[in-house]
Amino acid sequence: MKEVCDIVAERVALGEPLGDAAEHAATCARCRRLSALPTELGATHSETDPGIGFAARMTAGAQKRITVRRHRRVALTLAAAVAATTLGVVFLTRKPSDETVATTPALHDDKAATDTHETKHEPAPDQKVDEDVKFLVQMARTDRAAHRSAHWREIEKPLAPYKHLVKGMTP
Amino acid sequence: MAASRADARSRLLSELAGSPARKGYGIAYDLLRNRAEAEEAVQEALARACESIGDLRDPDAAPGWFLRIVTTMCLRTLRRRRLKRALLGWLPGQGEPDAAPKTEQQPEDIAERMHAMPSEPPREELASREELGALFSHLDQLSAQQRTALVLRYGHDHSVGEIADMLGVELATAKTHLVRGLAKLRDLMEEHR
Repeated sequence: MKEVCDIVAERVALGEPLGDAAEHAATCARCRRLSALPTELGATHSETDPGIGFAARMTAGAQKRITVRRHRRVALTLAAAVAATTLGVVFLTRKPSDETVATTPALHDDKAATDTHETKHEPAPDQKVDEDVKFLVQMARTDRAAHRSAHWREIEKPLAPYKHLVKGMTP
Repeated sequence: MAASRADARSRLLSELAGSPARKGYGIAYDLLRNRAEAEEAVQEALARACESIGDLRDPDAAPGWFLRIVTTMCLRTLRRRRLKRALLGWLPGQGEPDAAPKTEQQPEDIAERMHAMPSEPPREELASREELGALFSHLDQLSAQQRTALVLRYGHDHSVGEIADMLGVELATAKTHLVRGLAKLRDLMEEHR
Protein backbone atom coordinates (compact mmCIF):
# COMPACT_ATOMS: atom_id res chain seq x y z
CA MET A 1 0.00 0.00 0.00
CA LYS A 2 2.85 2.32 0.86
CA GLU A 3 4.28 1.95 -2.60
CA VAL A 4 1.08 3.19 -4.24
CA CYS A 5 1.03 6.16 -1.83
CA ASP A 6 4.59 6.96 -2.88
CA ILE A 7 3.63 6.78 -6.55
CA VAL A 8 0.72 9.14 -5.90
CA ALA A 9 3.02 11.54 -4.00
CA GLU A 10 5.53 11.55 -6.84
CA ARG A 11 2.90 12.10 -9.54
CA VAL A 12 1.20 14.87 -7.58
CA ALA A 13 4.53 16.57 -6.88
CA LEU A 14 5.56 16.49 -10.53
CA GLY A 15 2.08 17.44 -11.78
CA GLU A 16 1.66 14.21 -13.74
CA PRO A 17 -1.72 12.47 -14.24
CA LEU A 18 -2.42 9.88 -11.55
CA GLY A 19 -3.37 7.17 -14.08
CA ASP A 20 -3.81 3.73 -12.51
CA ALA A 21 -3.15 5.19 -9.04
CA ALA A 22 -6.24 7.44 -9.29
CA GLU A 23 -8.49 4.79 -7.79
CA HIS A 24 -6.23 4.44 -4.76
CA ALA A 25 -5.87 8.22 -4.42
CA ALA A 26 -9.67 8.57 -4.22
CA THR A 27 -10.00 6.10 -1.35
CA CYS A 28 -6.80 6.74 0.69
CA ALA A 29 -7.18 9.65 3.13
CA ARG A 30 -3.46 10.47 3.15
CA CYS A 31 -3.30 10.60 -0.63
CA ARG A 32 -6.41 12.78 -0.77
CA ARG A 33 -4.78 15.15 1.71
CA LEU A 34 -1.61 15.23 -0.35
CA SER A 35 -3.50 15.85 -3.59
CA ALA A 36 -5.13 18.92 -2.04
CA LEU A 37 -1.80 20.44 -0.98
CA PRO A 38 -0.76 21.99 -4.33
CA THR A 39 -3.95 24.08 -4.38
CA GLU A 40 -3.37 25.19 -0.79
CA LEU A 41 0.24 26.03 -1.56
CA GLY A 42 -0.87 28.09 -4.53
CA ALA A 43 -2.74 30.31 -2.08
CA THR A 44 0.51 31.21 -0.33
CA HIS A 45 1.60 33.18 -3.39
CA SER A 46 0.97 36.85 -2.84
CA GLU A 47 1.09 39.62 -5.41
CA THR A 48 3.00 42.04 -3.21
CA ASP A 49 3.58 45.52 -4.44
CA PRO A 50 7.16 46.49 -3.69
CA GLY A 51 6.16 50.13 -3.47
CA ILE A 52 7.02 53.33 -5.30
CA GLY A 53 10.64 53.80 -6.34
CA PHE A 54 11.47 50.13 -6.07
CA ALA A 55 13.87 50.08 -9.04
CA ALA A 56 15.67 53.22 -7.82
CA ARG A 57 15.95 51.76 -4.31
CA MET A 58 17.36 48.51 -5.62
CA THR A 59 19.84 50.26 -7.93
CA ALA A 60 21.07 52.59 -5.19
CA GLY A 61 21.36 49.74 -2.69
CA ALA A 62 23.25 47.50 -5.11
CA GLN A 63 25.64 50.31 -6.10
CA LYS A 64 26.32 51.07 -2.45
CA ARG A 65 27.10 47.40 -1.77
CA ILE A 66 29.46 47.25 -4.77
CA THR A 67 31.30 50.39 -3.61
CA VAL A 68 31.61 49.18 -0.01
CA ARG A 69 32.95 45.82 -1.17
CA ARG A 70 35.43 47.47 -3.53
CA HIS A 71 36.74 49.66 -0.68
CA ARG A 72 36.99 46.62 1.56
CA ARG A 73 38.93 44.71 -1.10
CA VAL A 74 41.37 47.64 -1.56
CA ALA A 75 41.85 47.90 2.22
CA LEU A 76 42.50 44.15 2.52
CA THR A 77 45.00 44.21 -0.35
CA LEU A 78 46.81 47.16 1.24
CA ALA A 79 46.87 45.44 4.63
CA ALA A 80 48.29 42.27 3.07
CA ALA A 81 50.94 44.29 1.21
CA VAL A 82 51.95 46.13 4.40
CA ALA A 83 52.15 42.86 6.32
CA ALA A 84 54.28 41.25 3.62
CA THR A 85 56.62 44.28 3.49
CA THR A 86 56.97 44.30 7.29
CA LEU A 87 57.82 40.60 7.31
CA GLY A 88 60.38 41.15 4.56
CA VAL A 89 62.02 44.04 6.41
CA VAL A 90 62.15 42.04 9.66
CA PHE A 91 63.68 39.08 7.84
CA LEU A 92 66.34 41.19 6.14
CA THR A 93 67.30 43.24 9.21
CA ARG A 94 67.59 40.41 11.73
CA LYS A 95 70.55 40.37 14.14
CA PRO A 96 73.40 38.02 13.10
CA SER A 97 73.16 36.16 16.43
CA ASP A 98 69.67 34.97 15.55
CA GLU A 99 70.93 33.51 12.32
CA THR A 100 72.84 30.73 14.08
CA VAL A 101 69.59 29.44 15.48
CA ALA A 102 67.49 29.71 12.35
CA THR A 103 69.86 28.37 9.72
CA THR A 104 70.67 24.70 9.32
CA PRO A 105 74.40 24.12 9.86
CA ALA A 106 76.44 21.96 7.55
CA LEU A 107 77.02 18.52 9.01
CA HIS A 108 80.50 17.97 10.33
CA ASP A 109 82.63 15.58 8.42
CA ASP A 110 83.71 13.15 11.13
CA LYS A 111 86.92 12.19 9.42
CA ALA A 112 87.98 15.77 8.83
CA ALA A 113 87.07 16.65 12.36
CA THR A 114 89.13 13.77 13.74
CA ASP A 115 92.07 14.73 11.53
CA THR A 116 91.95 18.28 12.75
CA HIS A 117 91.77 17.04 16.28
CA GLU A 118 94.81 14.79 15.78
CA THR A 119 96.98 17.46 14.20
CA LYS A 120 96.94 19.48 17.40
CA HIS A 121 99.91 19.23 19.77
CA GLU A 122 99.92 16.22 22.09
CA PRO A 123 98.23 17.24 25.31
CA ALA A 124 98.45 15.54 28.73
CA PRO A 125 96.02 12.54 29.21
CA ASP A 126 93.66 14.54 31.47
CA GLN A 127 93.76 17.44 29.11
CA LYS A 128 93.05 15.07 26.22
CA VAL A 129 89.85 13.92 27.89
CA ASP A 130 88.84 17.52 28.28
CA GLU A 131 89.54 18.13 24.63
CA ASP A 132 87.37 15.12 23.73
CA VAL A 133 84.57 16.41 25.87
CA LYS A 134 84.94 19.82 24.32
CA PHE A 135 84.79 18.27 20.88
CA LEU A 136 81.67 16.29 21.74
CA VAL A 137 80.06 19.41 23.15
CA GLN A 138 80.97 21.21 19.97
CA MET A 139 79.49 18.39 17.89
CA ALA A 140 76.33 18.43 19.95
CA ARG A 141 76.03 22.17 19.24
CA THR A 142 74.55 22.88 22.61
CA ASP A 143 73.66 26.44 21.55
CA ARG A 144 71.21 24.94 19.06
CA ALA A 145 70.08 22.15 21.37
CA ALA A 146 69.16 24.69 24.03
CA HIS A 147 66.92 26.53 21.63
CA ARG A 148 63.20 25.88 21.77
CA SER A 149 62.92 24.92 18.10
CA ALA A 150 65.87 22.49 18.13
CA HIS A 151 65.33 19.14 16.41
CA TRP A 152 66.43 16.19 18.50
CA ARG A 153 67.30 14.13 15.40
CA GLU A 154 69.72 16.80 14.19
CA ILE A 155 71.40 16.90 17.59
CA GLU A 156 71.76 13.12 17.79
CA LYS A 157 72.98 12.51 14.23
CA PRO A 158 76.58 13.84 14.51
CA LEU A 159 76.98 12.07 17.88
CA ALA A 160 76.01 8.64 16.56
CA PRO A 161 79.61 7.39 15.89
CA TYR A 162 80.54 8.16 19.52
CA LYS A 163 77.65 6.27 21.05
CA HIS A 164 79.73 3.14 21.78
CA LEU A 165 82.12 5.18 23.94
CA VAL A 166 79.46 5.79 26.54
CA LYS A 167 77.74 2.41 26.29
CA GLY A 168 77.18 0.83 29.73
CA MET A 169 78.10 4.01 31.56
CA THR A 170 75.71 5.65 33.93
CA PRO A 171 75.55 9.41 34.02
CA MET B 1 38.95 48.11 -20.75
CA ALA B 2 37.92 49.20 -17.24
CA ALA B 3 35.56 51.84 -18.67
CA SER B 4 33.82 49.33 -20.95
CA ARG B 5 33.45 46.94 -18.02
CA ALA B 6 31.92 49.71 -15.90
CA ASP B 7 29.55 50.57 -18.77
CA ALA B 8 28.50 46.93 -19.13
CA ARG B 9 27.98 46.76 -15.38
CA SER B 10 25.76 49.84 -15.25
CA ARG B 11 23.80 48.62 -18.32
CA LEU B 12 23.21 45.27 -16.64
CA LEU B 13 22.20 46.97 -13.39
CA SER B 14 19.61 49.18 -15.11
CA GLU B 15 18.30 46.19 -17.08
CA LEU B 16 17.94 43.95 -14.03
CA ALA B 17 16.57 46.61 -11.69
CA GLY B 18 13.31 46.73 -13.67
CA SER B 19 11.11 43.73 -14.32
CA PRO B 20 13.57 40.98 -13.25
CA ALA B 21 14.06 42.68 -9.88
CA ARG B 22 10.29 42.83 -9.35
CA LYS B 23 9.95 39.15 -10.18
CA GLY B 24 12.88 38.40 -7.90
CA TYR B 25 11.23 40.39 -5.14
CA GLY B 26 8.03 38.34 -5.56
CA ILE B 27 9.95 35.08 -5.16
CA ALA B 28 12.02 36.45 -2.27
CA TYR B 29 8.92 37.70 -0.47
CA ASP B 30 7.07 34.39 -0.88
CA LEU B 31 10.09 32.55 0.48
CA LEU B 32 11.10 34.87 3.29
CA ARG B 33 7.76 36.49 4.18
CA ASN B 34 9.49 39.68 5.20
CA ARG B 35 9.65 42.85 3.07
CA ALA B 36 12.98 44.11 4.39
CA GLU B 37 14.69 40.74 3.96
CA ALA B 38 13.21 40.32 0.48
CA GLU B 39 14.53 43.74 -0.61
CA GLU B 40 17.90 42.95 0.90
CA ALA B 41 18.07 39.66 -1.02
CA VAL B 42 17.27 41.43 -4.30
CA GLN B 43 19.85 44.19 -3.66
CA GLU B 44 22.51 41.64 -2.79
CA ALA B 45 21.66 39.60 -5.89
CA LEU B 46 21.93 42.74 -8.06
CA ALA B 47 25.32 43.59 -6.56
CA ARG B 48 26.61 40.05 -7.05
CA ALA B 49 25.31 39.89 -10.62
CA CYS B 50 27.11 43.15 -11.46
CA GLU B 51 30.32 42.02 -9.79
CA SER B 52 30.42 38.69 -11.62
CA ILE B 53 29.30 40.03 -14.99
CA GLY B 54 32.30 38.26 -16.54
CA ASP B 55 30.68 34.89 -15.78
CA LEU B 56 27.67 35.72 -17.96
CA ARG B 57 28.30 34.42 -21.47
CA ASP B 58 24.85 34.98 -22.98
CA PRO B 59 23.40 38.45 -22.18
CA ASP B 60 19.88 37.17 -22.99
CA ALA B 61 20.16 34.73 -20.09
CA ALA B 62 20.72 37.58 -17.60
CA PRO B 63 17.17 37.60 -16.07
CA GLY B 64 17.20 33.83 -15.43
CA TRP B 65 20.72 34.04 -14.06
CA PHE B 66 19.65 36.90 -11.78
CA LEU B 67 16.65 34.92 -10.45
CA ARG B 68 19.02 32.05 -9.65
CA ILE B 69 21.16 34.43 -7.59
CA VAL B 70 18.05 35.76 -5.81
CA THR B 71 17.04 32.19 -4.95
CA THR B 72 20.53 31.47 -3.62
CA MET B 73 20.35 34.59 -1.44
CA CYS B 74 16.94 33.51 -0.11
CA LEU B 75 18.23 29.99 0.64
CA ARG B 76 21.12 31.55 2.55
CA THR B 77 18.73 33.74 4.57
CA LEU B 78 16.42 30.78 5.30
CA ARG B 79 19.34 28.65 6.48
CA ARG B 80 20.65 31.46 8.67
CA ARG B 81 17.18 31.97 10.12
CA ARG B 82 16.87 28.23 10.85
CA LEU B 83 20.29 28.19 12.50
CA LYS B 84 19.40 31.23 14.59
CA ARG B 85 16.17 29.55 15.65
CA ALA B 86 18.04 26.38 16.59
CA LEU B 87 20.64 28.34 18.56
CA LEU B 88 17.95 30.33 20.36
CA GLY B 89 16.19 27.07 21.12
CA TRP B 90 19.26 25.70 22.85
CA LEU B 91 19.59 28.71 25.12
CA PRO B 92 18.03 28.27 28.57
CA GLY B 93 14.43 29.39 28.77
CA GLN B 94 13.97 29.45 25.00
CA GLY B 95 12.17 26.11 24.60
CA GLU B 96 13.04 23.21 22.30
CA PRO B 97 15.15 23.78 19.20
CA ASP B 98 12.42 22.61 16.85
CA ALA B 99 9.73 24.69 18.50
CA ALA B 100 7.85 27.35 16.57
CA PRO B 101 9.92 30.44 15.75
CA LYS B 102 10.16 32.93 18.59
CA THR B 103 12.26 35.55 16.87
CA GLU B 104 11.62 39.26 16.96
CA GLN B 105 10.43 39.17 13.40
CA GLN B 106 7.44 37.00 14.11
CA PRO B 107 4.86 39.75 14.83
CA GLU B 108 5.92 41.59 11.69
CA ASP B 109 5.75 38.35 9.70
CA ILE B 110 2.23 37.61 10.85
CA ALA B 111 1.08 41.15 10.11
CA GLU B 112 2.63 40.98 6.66
CA ARG B 113 1.15 37.57 5.97
CA MET B 114 -2.31 38.79 6.92
CA HIS B 115 -1.84 41.92 4.80
CA ALA B 116 -0.61 39.93 1.82
CA MET B 117 -3.34 37.29 1.83
CA PRO B 118 -5.60 37.10 -1.18
CA SER B 119 -9.07 38.51 -0.59
CA GLU B 120 -11.67 35.90 0.41
CA PRO B 121 -15.40 36.05 1.04
CA PRO B 122 -15.91 37.47 4.58
CA ARG B 123 -17.68 34.34 5.93
CA GLU B 124 -14.79 32.03 5.11
CA GLU B 125 -12.09 34.60 5.70
CA LEU B 126 -11.25 33.80 9.32
CA ALA B 127 -11.09 30.02 8.86
CA SER B 128 -9.09 30.46 5.70
CA ARG B 129 -6.63 32.80 7.40
CA GLU B 130 -6.19 30.35 10.23
CA GLU B 131 -5.49 27.51 7.81
CA LEU B 132 -3.11 29.65 5.81
CA GLY B 133 -1.31 30.70 9.00
CA ALA B 134 -0.90 27.02 9.92
CA LEU B 135 0.37 26.28 6.42
CA PHE B 136 2.98 29.06 6.70
CA SER B 137 4.18 27.78 10.06
CA HIS B 138 4.44 24.23 8.66
CA LEU B 139 6.38 25.55 5.68
CA ASP B 140 8.82 27.11 8.15
CA GLN B 141 9.60 23.63 9.43
CA LEU B 142 10.67 22.25 6.05
CA SER B 143 14.27 22.42 4.93
CA ALA B 144 15.25 25.55 3.00
CA GLN B 145 15.52 23.63 -0.28
CA GLN B 146 12.21 21.78 0.15
CA ARG B 147 10.44 25.02 0.97
CA THR B 148 12.00 26.82 -1.98
CA ALA B 149 11.12 23.98 -4.35
CA LEU B 150 7.47 23.97 -3.21
CA VAL B 151 7.09 27.76 -3.37
CA LEU B 152 8.67 27.94 -6.83
CA ARG B 153 6.57 25.03 -8.14
CA TYR B 154 3.14 25.88 -6.78
CA GLY B 155 3.46 29.60 -6.07
CA HIS B 156 5.33 30.66 -9.19
CA ASP B 157 4.57 27.84 -11.66
CA HIS B 158 8.18 27.00 -12.41
CA SER B 159 8.91 23.64 -14.03
CA VAL B 160 10.97 21.01 -12.20
CA GLY B 161 13.85 21.70 -14.60
CA GLU B 162 13.76 25.42 -13.82
CA ILE B 163 13.63 24.68 -10.09
CA ALA B 164 16.66 22.38 -10.39
CA ASP B 165 18.48 25.16 -12.25
CA MET B 166 17.54 27.79 -9.68
CA LEU B 167 18.51 25.59 -6.75
CA GLY B 168 21.72 24.58 -8.49
CA VAL B 169 20.96 20.84 -8.15
CA GLU B 170 20.33 17.87 -10.45
CA LEU B 171 16.84 17.29 -11.83
CA ALA B 172 16.40 14.12 -9.75
CA THR B 173 17.39 16.03 -6.58
CA ALA B 174 14.83 18.75 -7.32
CA LYS B 175 12.15 16.05 -7.77
CA THR B 176 13.16 14.50 -4.45
CA HIS B 177 12.91 17.88 -2.71
CA LEU B 178 9.40 18.33 -4.13
CA VAL B 179 8.13 14.85 -3.24
CA ARG B 180 9.66 14.81 0.26
CA GLY B 181 8.59 18.38 0.92
CA LEU B 182 4.97 17.63 0.00
CA ALA B 183 4.94 14.42 2.08
CA LYS B 184 6.46 16.16 5.09
CA LEU B 185 4.02 19.05 4.78
CA ARG B 186 1.11 16.60 4.70
CA ASP B 187 2.42 14.81 7.80
CA LEU B 188 2.84 18.11 9.66
CA MET B 189 -0.71 19.16 8.76
CA GLU B 190 -2.08 15.81 9.90
CA GLU B 191 -0.26 16.19 13.23
CA HIS B 192 -1.72 19.68 13.58
CA ARG B 193 -5.29 18.39 13.16
